[in-house]
Amino acid sequence: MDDCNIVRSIVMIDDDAEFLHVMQRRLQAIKADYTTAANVDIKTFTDPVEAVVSLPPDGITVVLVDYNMPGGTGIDWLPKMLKAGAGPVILLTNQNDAKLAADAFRAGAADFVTKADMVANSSALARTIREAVQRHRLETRNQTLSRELKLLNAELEVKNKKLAELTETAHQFVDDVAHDFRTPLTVIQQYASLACDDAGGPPNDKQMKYLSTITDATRELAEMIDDFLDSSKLRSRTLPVYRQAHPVQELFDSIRPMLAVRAEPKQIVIKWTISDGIKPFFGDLSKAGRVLSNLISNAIKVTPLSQPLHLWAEQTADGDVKIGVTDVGPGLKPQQLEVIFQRFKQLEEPQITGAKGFGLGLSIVKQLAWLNLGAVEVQSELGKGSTFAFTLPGLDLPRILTCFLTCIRARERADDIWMLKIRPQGAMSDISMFRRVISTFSYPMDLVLESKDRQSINVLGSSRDPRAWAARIRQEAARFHRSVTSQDVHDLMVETVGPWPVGTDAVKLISALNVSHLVEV
Amino acid sequence: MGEPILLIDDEWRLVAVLRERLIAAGYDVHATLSAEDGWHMAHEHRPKVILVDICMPWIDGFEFCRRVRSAPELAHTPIVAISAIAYDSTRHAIVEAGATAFVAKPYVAKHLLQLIQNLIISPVNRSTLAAPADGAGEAI
Repeated sequence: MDDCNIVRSIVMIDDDAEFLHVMQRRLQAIKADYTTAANVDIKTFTDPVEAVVSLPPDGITVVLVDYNMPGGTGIDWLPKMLKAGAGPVILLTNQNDAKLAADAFRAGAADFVTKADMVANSSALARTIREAVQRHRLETRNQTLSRELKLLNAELEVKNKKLAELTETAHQFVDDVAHDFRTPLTVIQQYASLACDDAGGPPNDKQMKYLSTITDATRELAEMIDDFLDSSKLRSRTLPVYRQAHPVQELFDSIRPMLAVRAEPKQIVIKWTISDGIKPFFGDLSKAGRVLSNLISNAIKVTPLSQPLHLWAEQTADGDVKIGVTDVGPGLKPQQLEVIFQRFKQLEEPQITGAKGFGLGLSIVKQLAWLNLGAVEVQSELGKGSTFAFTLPGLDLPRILTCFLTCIRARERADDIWMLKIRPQGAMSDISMFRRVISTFSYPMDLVLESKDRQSINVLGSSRDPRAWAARIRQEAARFHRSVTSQDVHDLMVETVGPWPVGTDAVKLISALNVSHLVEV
Repeated sequence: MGEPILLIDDEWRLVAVLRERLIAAGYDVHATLSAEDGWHMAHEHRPKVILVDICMPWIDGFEFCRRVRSAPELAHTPIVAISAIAYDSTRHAIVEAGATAFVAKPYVAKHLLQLIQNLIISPVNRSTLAAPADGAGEAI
């Protein structure tokens, strides 16, 4: 027996004084079998009230209490005794009863034994006390560890909050600085443009050239500020996305004025091609416009004077819309192709990227294209020009869902749980279609939920180990839905018939499950 | 004398340069650096279009728009809000406050002039507004 199991005092409570007397003598006689202490203080009580009052809050006194007691059963008395802060509480009964035993353990008893066994078998009595003390120590240790863990978690939360605040401050700083830049920039740009336009007398050719250089540079700076703002918002995931159906022509029209201003000084001829019968795409028009204008800005930079630039749109085999910019510039080296989409890469390795204004712009292009559920690709050969293209999903629900899942798949971390909310604009689609699509991605955990008003379908998925939270999500789903059944294509797919809480409740449920991607389509 | 236009911005260099542009385009320009002055000038000159900066001390663009909209004699005057803060939320908030159109700084002067022209021809129907979506100016 090690010192951990040392027992110095025992308290026995029973309304049978005779039994108490017998047990007290027995426990003294066999003390060597359950403790290393030379002396054990054994107190007996026939009145539970008196016993509770005199229990020492030392955490090591062993309490033996009878089930049949005046003023409530031993189980009724258990919580009071545990609260008093003594050691393990062992419940004694006249007969073995499985249900009673279960109740006793649930109430916090260290053990549940029959009186007959304890009187008849001394070694069983000693063993019961030893084991109860051991269990109690383990439980106490466990509780201490849990408390420490909670404390650590709380500290971590404080640190996380602080970190989030710092990040927020940094983003705010970038935003403020970027905005503050715009006013003086406007002053420069407006005066240069005024001078260009003859105000105050016509400039000579040389002066005209200087003025357009100023105008060009300010425009470039203005675009860089836009990039900074976008980049900052993308990093903090605060860039809102408004996706809906748009014809390709609408996208082209939206960037036409900007394009004319940029192409004019270099006398670049732009060829526009939209393939016949092209269908509308699904996406955020202004984001798609930013992607396209960024790609065109880069293309204009590398295109020689008076050379053509090709802007085209075509339908892909998957039904997506692909939009591209083909230039006749110098093209890119294979090692340049590897790094051009990385943030600030050109600052780190200017010898690789060569051209100016590439790093941040293309990294934003890539992220904005992703927000539109598509991807950017580049084809280039040194000396033969480059083609940058990006895709936008076609207006087809299964395709949109597939694009979304593909984007998530490429970026998710091991612990992510995400939700996609789909509100079809036309007639509501068959929910089984959504299941079919999501099943092709074989997530360990997924959910397809239909809203009560049948206006939207919510798809939830996670690459997490589903066992860890399947029960939890069923329980949460049950709270928000009329009925939940859990058998379907997948073991853990939850089919719901009830109302999926639209808006805040859904978000609450999802955030309770630590969702990282909440994307509304 | 051309159509009266009111221009309010606390950045004097922008007021000066835009004033020159507008005069060159034939407008009767009334310009000031404060919204307080602008409020009185609006009553005095009854401009066809008001151009107002959003971020200004004392009375900002939001407050100015609300005041104009609540004054029966000015309520129908088109207002173009011009700002370096070009968040979607700012755009929506200024329209909520009463602005007819929003233009982000830096803007292309040609586009701004086109927008003013359109507002004078058709002050009510917003769909006729020029909407250069190059980030340099945008009608809502």
